[in-house]
Amino acid sequence: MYQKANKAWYRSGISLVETMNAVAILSIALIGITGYRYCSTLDTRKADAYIISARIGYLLSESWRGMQGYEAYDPVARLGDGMTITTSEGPAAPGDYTVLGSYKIVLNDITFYATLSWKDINSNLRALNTTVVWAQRTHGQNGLDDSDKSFELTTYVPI
Amino acid sequence: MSRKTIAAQHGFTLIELIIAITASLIVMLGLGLVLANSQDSWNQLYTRAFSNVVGDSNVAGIKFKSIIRKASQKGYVVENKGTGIEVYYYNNADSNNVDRYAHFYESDGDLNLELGKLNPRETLEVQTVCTNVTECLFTAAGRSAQMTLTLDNGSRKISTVSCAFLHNQ
Repeated sequence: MYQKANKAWYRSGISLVETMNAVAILSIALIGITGYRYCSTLDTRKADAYIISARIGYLLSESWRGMQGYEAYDPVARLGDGMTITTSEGPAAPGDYTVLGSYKIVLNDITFYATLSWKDINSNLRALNTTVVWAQRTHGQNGLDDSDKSFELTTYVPI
Repeated sequence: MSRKTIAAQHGFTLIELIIAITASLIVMLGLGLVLANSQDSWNQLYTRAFSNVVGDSNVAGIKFKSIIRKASQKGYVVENKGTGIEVYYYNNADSNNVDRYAHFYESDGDLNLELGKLNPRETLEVQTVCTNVTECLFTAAGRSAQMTLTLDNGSRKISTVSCAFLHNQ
């Protein structure tokens, strides 16, 4: 009797509920994969922006350091031929630092804002601070107010 | 018992089949769009992260920094319009004079590095640092040198900036 019932179950095919269950399970799996890929893409963009910001910070800092922390150093004049850099508003400098200038830099379609500032530690040593900010959430061409990530670099130069 | 067996054996009705197919199609269509978009983003991500120009730009930046950092601050030559830069350095710790030169220059879409001896000038080696170069600009002032490099292989365009400090006397 049991064998007959079992055979009948196999012969009955797949019910609508079973089909819908299978579709639902597959959908969940596919949505999971899609979410994973989305997060991977987003993280790569974030990492990319972070790497570029570090390079910009390093470029500004080392260029200024190469000029011995000159108080009238102008990165727009020095670096403007090779990249898009203009004078602009920028992030705040550390409290007791003197601001040299703030700049807007566009590289690989991402907008960064940077502020250069300096402070004399003593009569022989000057600290050069570079702060770079950018909008991680929105990407692309954004205003300073959209910025939510920052990279800060301080280097020292004898004077 | 026999009724149950007959009922269980009758399979789908036409209505059930149509409903199931319609529902599945709607779900599959939605998922297909999402997956197509996801695949497109994934391809962009892969190109962004693993394209050869990305690796090449990193290598070029590292090479530039390593050469400039060991260069002497006594002098450098930036070629007209910044298409090349030449720096000078000590061959080893026993060298009393600056006796080597390194010359970065762009030629036919390649970034090249020429290394050689000074006095008399003799080329020892020419390396191709990277290919697919569309823009390359060298600048220098004070004790630092900069390189702005744009690489484009048709599917990915990347601009990178590098700067290094001339450390040696």
